[in-house]
Amino acid sequence: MSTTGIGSTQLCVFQVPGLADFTFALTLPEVLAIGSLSEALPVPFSPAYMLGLTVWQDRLVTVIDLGAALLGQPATTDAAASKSHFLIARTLWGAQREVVAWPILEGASTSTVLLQDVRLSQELTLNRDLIYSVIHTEDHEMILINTTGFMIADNQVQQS
Amino acid sequence: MFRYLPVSAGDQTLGIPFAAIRQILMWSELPGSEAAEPQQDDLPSGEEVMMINLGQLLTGSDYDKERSQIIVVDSATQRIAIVVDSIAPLKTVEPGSYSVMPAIFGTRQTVFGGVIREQENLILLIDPDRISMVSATARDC
Repeated sequence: MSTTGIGSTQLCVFQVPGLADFTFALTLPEVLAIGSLSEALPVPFSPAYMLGLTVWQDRLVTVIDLGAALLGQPATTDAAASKSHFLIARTLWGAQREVVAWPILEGASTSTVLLQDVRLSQELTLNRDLIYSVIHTEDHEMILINTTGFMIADNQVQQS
Repeated sequence: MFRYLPVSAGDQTLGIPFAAIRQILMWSELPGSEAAEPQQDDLPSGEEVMMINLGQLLTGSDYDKERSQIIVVDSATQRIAIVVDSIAPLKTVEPGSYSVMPAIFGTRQTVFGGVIREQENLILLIDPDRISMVSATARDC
């Protein structure tokens, strides 16, 4: 987690299509950019929440519908049509560095929170594999995304 | 340099690594070519192999027996025959154009082992080991 001082961390705060009632966050060092992407190439036999593959700055990017992944549902048409506004993030799976992206709504921002405010909520109905923790602040709560949670266990076969 | 054979199956354009290819045949060259559906069959050499209809596996699409071609490839454990709608001339690309399939796609559930980047286009590369495993799983279901 990125710290800006003793006991604090910097986050990118955003919302995703299909789950506008929730606020999500990713640690700032994980965020490469917020911007547009070329249309993703669908990949047969991939999990239903995946939108496909594309290229960004000469790097292969896996495009995901984060809202669908959190809900355990197939990617929505809205997310697939959202070609202009993506959060592009890096992640590390084992020794493999990869780039993932997902559509977000307008209005992403950065925020600094105190680590003492971070606690795991037990009430979440979303896919907990994709969540590090829920961060509670005075005015709202943010769900901290765990990008390594996208790694699919080999025995979880989900065909699109 | 990296060489691959572009193929089309269903409505998809894909690639097969050249290093895995052993033989390319027309459907009509198979001894069992009068069969209505591709099935385990003998190659002209008398060799029995697993037959995988790529278009049907990926998109559920039917195939045209008159035009279909068979690409015989070696996986780590067996020789398999992949039925495709058509093939294009062999392509050679810089090694930097090849990327391994992102780990997020797992290993057992994808039939692809890598991706070729050609300007704005992406070509998914069939992994012979994975396609034989996924095909066997699909047949069991």
